[in-house]
Amino acid sequence: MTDHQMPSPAHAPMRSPLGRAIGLGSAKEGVTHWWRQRVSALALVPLTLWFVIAVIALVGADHAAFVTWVRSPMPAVFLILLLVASFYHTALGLQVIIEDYIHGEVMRLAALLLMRLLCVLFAVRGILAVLKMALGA
Amino acid sequence: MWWLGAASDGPEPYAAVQHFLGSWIGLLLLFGWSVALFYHLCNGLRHLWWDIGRGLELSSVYGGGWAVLASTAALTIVSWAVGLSHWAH
Repeated sequence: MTDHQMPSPAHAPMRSPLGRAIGLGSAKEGVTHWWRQRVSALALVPLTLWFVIAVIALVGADHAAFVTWVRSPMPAVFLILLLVASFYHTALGLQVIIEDYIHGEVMRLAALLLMRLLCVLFAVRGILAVLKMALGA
Repeated sequence: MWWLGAASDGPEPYAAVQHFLGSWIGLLLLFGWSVALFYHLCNGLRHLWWDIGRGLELSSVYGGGWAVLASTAALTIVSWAVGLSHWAH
């Protein structure tokens, strides 16, 4: 059935016209989560490839060489972008797993909050480490 | 995170992390992580391709699945070959 066909009473839409126009569905956020997951995935493609190549190039680097590398401007920028994008993407992905598999309402909420907290914690820890090296004396 | 944090903490913590990652258990963990990362990357690209409505015929879906496994293996092997030869020097 296409949208502009008149629905027969037996197939009357369950959604109100307003609900359909706003288009947010029962979860009240529409395709926002799905879309953010895709955008962060796309951002992570070049960042991940860059990171893998960088890590391979850094194999066996001593501390001084490593810090020098971080301090050359682009690595610090890309590392921070990578940390933000990857922990954001991680949180979005884990959120779906938790929502799908943890059924108790209290447990689900607790798991979601804990997961978000850990993702933010790891991301901030990483960003701080990069900034410390990039800006440190 | 651990690696970045150690590097920002100074040479000794950094050396300790480097030492662990160079041990057989460290290398095994890194290897597993690299396989998972490349697989996720390749299969993620496959899903993004599906999301724009391409490659949804059954034959393409099967082909893409094999392509994901092949490119995961290729990326892992190339990365470790380059990385280990780099390490040897």
